[in-house]
Amino acid sequence: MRSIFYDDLRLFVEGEEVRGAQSVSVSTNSNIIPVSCMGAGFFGMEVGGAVESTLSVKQLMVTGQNYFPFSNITGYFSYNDDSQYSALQWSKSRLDSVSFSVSTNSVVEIDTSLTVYNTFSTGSIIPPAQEDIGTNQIARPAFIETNIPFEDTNAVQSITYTLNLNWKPTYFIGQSEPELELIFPINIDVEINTNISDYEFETFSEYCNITKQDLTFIFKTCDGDTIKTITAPDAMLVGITSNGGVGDKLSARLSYKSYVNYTGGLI
Amino acid sequence: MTQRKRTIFNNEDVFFSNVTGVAGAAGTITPSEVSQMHRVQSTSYDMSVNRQDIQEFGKLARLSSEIIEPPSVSFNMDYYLADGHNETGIGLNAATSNPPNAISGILANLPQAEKNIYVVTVSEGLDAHGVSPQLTANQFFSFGNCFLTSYSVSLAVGEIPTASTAWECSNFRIENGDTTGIVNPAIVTTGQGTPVSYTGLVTFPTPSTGTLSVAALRPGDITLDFGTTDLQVGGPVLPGTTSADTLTAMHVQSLDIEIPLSRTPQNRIGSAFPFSRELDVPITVTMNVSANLADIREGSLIDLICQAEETRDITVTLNDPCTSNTNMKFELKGAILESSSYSLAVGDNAKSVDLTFTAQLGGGNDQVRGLFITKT
Repeated sequence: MRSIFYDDLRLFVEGEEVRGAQSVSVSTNSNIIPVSCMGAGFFGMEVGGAVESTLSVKQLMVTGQNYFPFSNITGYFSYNDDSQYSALQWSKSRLDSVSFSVSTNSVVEIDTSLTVYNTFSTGSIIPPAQEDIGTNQIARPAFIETNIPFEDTNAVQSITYTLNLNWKPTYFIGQSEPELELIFPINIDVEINTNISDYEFETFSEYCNITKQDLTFIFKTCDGDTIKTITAPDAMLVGITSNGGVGDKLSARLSYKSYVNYTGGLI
Repeated sequence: MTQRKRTIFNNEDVFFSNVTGVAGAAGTITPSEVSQMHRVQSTSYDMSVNRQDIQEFGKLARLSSEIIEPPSVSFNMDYYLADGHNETGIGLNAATSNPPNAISGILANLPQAEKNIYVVTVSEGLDAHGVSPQLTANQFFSFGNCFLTSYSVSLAVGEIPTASTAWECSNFRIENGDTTGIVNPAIVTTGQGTPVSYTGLVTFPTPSTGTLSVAALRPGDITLDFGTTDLQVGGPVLPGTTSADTLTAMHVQSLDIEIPLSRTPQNRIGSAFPFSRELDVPITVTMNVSANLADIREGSLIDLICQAEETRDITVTLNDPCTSNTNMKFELKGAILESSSYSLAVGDNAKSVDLTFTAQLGGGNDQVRGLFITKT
């Protein structure tokens, strides 16, 4: 018996391995209710509702792979200890949020959160041999192209793009897993931290002057090939916080919000 | 070609230039735009790269080791003071009279604030002086986009007045010489994405001992003036003060002037290298004086606390040997006493006193606070 380390762990979603995975956490909770009745009082406990788990994945962007679909996601979490292969499998999950974080001193990070329905099943799965993906698709901060209007004259330090999905799960008698309905609009939050070198007044939307812009972030290789593109269509500036002080650089945090009623072409 | 066995000091010369020449965007730099450093005593340089290991589930060894942060390149150079020639070459402001703030050009981010540095090595056995740098037998260590991060002057009994400089650079090239010149080592920092080098070539003047008025300055030809007033807290009689006319001033053994010009690299998403290295402000100049104590003046620490701040202008004049002709002069204006310490032990030749003065550098147009350099 030995400890299981990261090189023994692999995560697969929809049959494709999640590359660049740095951490996976699973949290499962079950709602237990006491059962009582007339004449008998308390006589037992039962599961009061569907079991839901939260699966959180942190990964570095090392390929241009297509990321998780939005709903009915299947997958398994494989681990082996040299004597056997084991796996935690799930058959239905939904994407709750995916966040791309870009900063000047790190490879692009992706945080994904899923809600998994029903308990995980265990089994023995021998995962396929890990593919050699090379290193030329690793997304580094120096090779990101954006259309942020003030980017050329200011120094953007970090970008966070978060896509949030709201769902309406509907349970039917006889089914342990709900039917999922995506509630539109989908909310996209973009936060940009920048050091200010050339202060340009960014326009807030007003009642009679709605200002929108498509924010696009293209992750590229050193040779200029595109790894991945993410967009926030019709983003509106909703907040600016500026800071400056003795010994500090003048900086600002800009918050954008975008609402869309479709799922394609976002990430 | 004879294989080199070693490189010693006479084989090398150091040159400075702005990042781009008059030719502008192409990065071509002509010999008239390159300044040779004279009286160089030592150079040292190093490069380091920070990497982020990329690891993932399913693989024990790292996938790769990516360079996320720009490489760090540092260059250090010491030289004997003479005529203020090198100070001008490294981007400090010096004038023959009424000099401006020594770092006014650096504060204003003028072209003089960012330099390329070149170390040329000629064939073994030859003096670099008199040998054309445009030879294939030469070697070049060149540094692009360099910013001065420290300038200090050291004066001491028994030592030649010396300046020490430290630099942070973005790029470091090693190459053989060419008859047409070497590639400009600077990086275009205004663009984004893949780093782009300048395409122009740099050509150099043939180095020589120069036309400086002296070979070196001497500690015996240095005069000090600490202003007319005594220290508020009392203590040693300062040279140049009114008290020094009738009392014996302290006997200065050493004096250092240090200007820290630390810079923070300005990185941004979309750029592989810092697009600038901005000065960390405020900048405080420090002057450390070590002396043997002679006569004293009265004072109390309470006088310092309860009286108005007393600033002084301290002048360090380095004359030509055995003359009163000023070769270089450093004026530290608006200085205040930060600390003083005294020591004496059995066997010591004299009781010693160490004084530390500081002054903050004002803006480029401030003539009453800061360091001002007069040259020949």
